[in-house]
Amino acid sequence: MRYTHRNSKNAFGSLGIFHHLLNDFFDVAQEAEKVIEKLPSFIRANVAEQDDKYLINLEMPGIDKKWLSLEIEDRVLIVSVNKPEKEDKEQFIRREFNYGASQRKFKLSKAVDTSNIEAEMKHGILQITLAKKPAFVPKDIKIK
Amino acid sequence: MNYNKENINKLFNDFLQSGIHQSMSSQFTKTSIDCNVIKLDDAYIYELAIPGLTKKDIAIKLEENHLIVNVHAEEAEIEGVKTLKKEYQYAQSSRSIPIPEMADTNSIRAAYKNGILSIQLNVMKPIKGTKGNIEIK
Repeated sequence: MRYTHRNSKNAFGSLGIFHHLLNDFFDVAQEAEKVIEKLPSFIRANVAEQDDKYLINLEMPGIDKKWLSLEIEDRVLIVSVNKPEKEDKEQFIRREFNYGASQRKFKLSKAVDTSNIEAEMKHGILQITLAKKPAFVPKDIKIK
Repeated sequence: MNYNKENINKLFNDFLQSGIHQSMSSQFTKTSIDCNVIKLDDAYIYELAIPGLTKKDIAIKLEENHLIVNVHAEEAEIEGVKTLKKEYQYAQSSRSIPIPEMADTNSIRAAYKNGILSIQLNVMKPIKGTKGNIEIK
């Protein structure tokens, strides 16, 4: 079985779309030789900030929320995906993404209120909302 | 080449943006669409990972021997939202998928669910066992 490094598809750098047009050449007759990648996909995240919160959007297409777990430990947010093996019984002849067993960690800044984190799954995107701690209001202290 | 700071930085950045660093790097915005292909007894299923869209953002075009999927999503600029990191962006991307010769193009069915665009295509079975003698006139 021929193995090509998963990342060789990205050799064209910023011409991302085009490398697929140039490199795709699968032919039904060559099925048996097809490369089947089982490497777990890197979960990509888009992070944004608003006045009162941070938003982390993670891509997880095809993932059911019951396979997800969100944990927080010492200011580190851990997002884990564990798709049970039996869900993956299909016969793949090409596999470019595999979000079955992946994990992503985020170190949260001191501005985040770790007791106020919400998450919602929509259209294959997990959106995590992290509220910021209310701004510190300086107080004058009276001297008796 | 001018060995100044700018060019050296560019060399390193280009290197870091290529090969093994690229797909694992969080400095890189992925705009290419990944595709899985599943083979059933008499059909192929193409799954494209394009989360965060709606049906109207996606257009599928059938060409002679491939399918072209175009994503054209409106990117609303929301007031007061500052982007800190952007590792994926599929709003203006596309993917071309070659389809086998024996595909029955009338059987294409597509659905978008949970961020995956699934396209099913039946494949005609080759006509087996046509035996018989051909008469020579």
